[in-house]
Amino acid sequence: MQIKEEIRGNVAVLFLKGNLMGGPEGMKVHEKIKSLLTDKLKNIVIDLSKVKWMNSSGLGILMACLTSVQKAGGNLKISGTTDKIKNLFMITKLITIFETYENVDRAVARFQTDQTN
Amino acid sequence: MHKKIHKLAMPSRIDKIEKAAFFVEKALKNLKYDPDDRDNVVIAATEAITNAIIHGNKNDPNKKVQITVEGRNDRIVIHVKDEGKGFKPNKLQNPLSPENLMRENGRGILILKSLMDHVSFDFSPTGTEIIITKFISESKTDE
Repeated sequence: MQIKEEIRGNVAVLFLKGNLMGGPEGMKVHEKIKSLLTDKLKNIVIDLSKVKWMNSSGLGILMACLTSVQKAGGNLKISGTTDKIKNLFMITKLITIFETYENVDRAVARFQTDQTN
Repeated sequence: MHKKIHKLAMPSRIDKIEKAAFFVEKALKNLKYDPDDRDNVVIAATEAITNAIIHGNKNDPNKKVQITVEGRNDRIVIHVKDEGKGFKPNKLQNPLSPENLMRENGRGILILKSLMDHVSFDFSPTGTEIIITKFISESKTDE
């Protein structure tokens, strides 16, 4: 699992590449989120467009990330949800929990809209 | 009926789950299975394997998880066997209940059942075997 970080204004974007299926690799994502929160970066986008396989362990990692971000008073959005991944969000009803966007630009733009409203 | 079988015995280590996923993917590639559905079958298999490692074999690396990918003309059948004492499928918590929606785990069997056409469990004194089946439509195979 590769994690690339990019800061766009006051939004931190994490681009994940590889497979999100639990184990120590997946935990790195949660560690990264916690490190962003420590640095007071609370508006976060996780981009999944380069994730090939994600299973329930991967969803569990995203849930852990969401809980940490919400506890810190921040907001987490998911972008780059392919049909395969969207299907998992639908099956598990997590589509009602996570804000998902077609691509990073839209997720980041949404943060900006949220702030102006 | 034409049949191809691929077998793997792996230690119960969750850090090996990706390796197991690649094994299943490779077995499906050899079966010339439709790539659109292949990933879903791989994901379903990782759910069964993860359960076997964590819940069946309690992460004991000395205990093995046996994976068999069986390709027939019209279906893929994957067997995942652990050395655990089994569980009661009807006692599992419903991950779709509002009180469980925020939980970090408990969605594996739901995903497994949603992605595959048939799922069955075989509980025996030597362990638990989960058997998952996906039917292949004629148009999706070149065999």
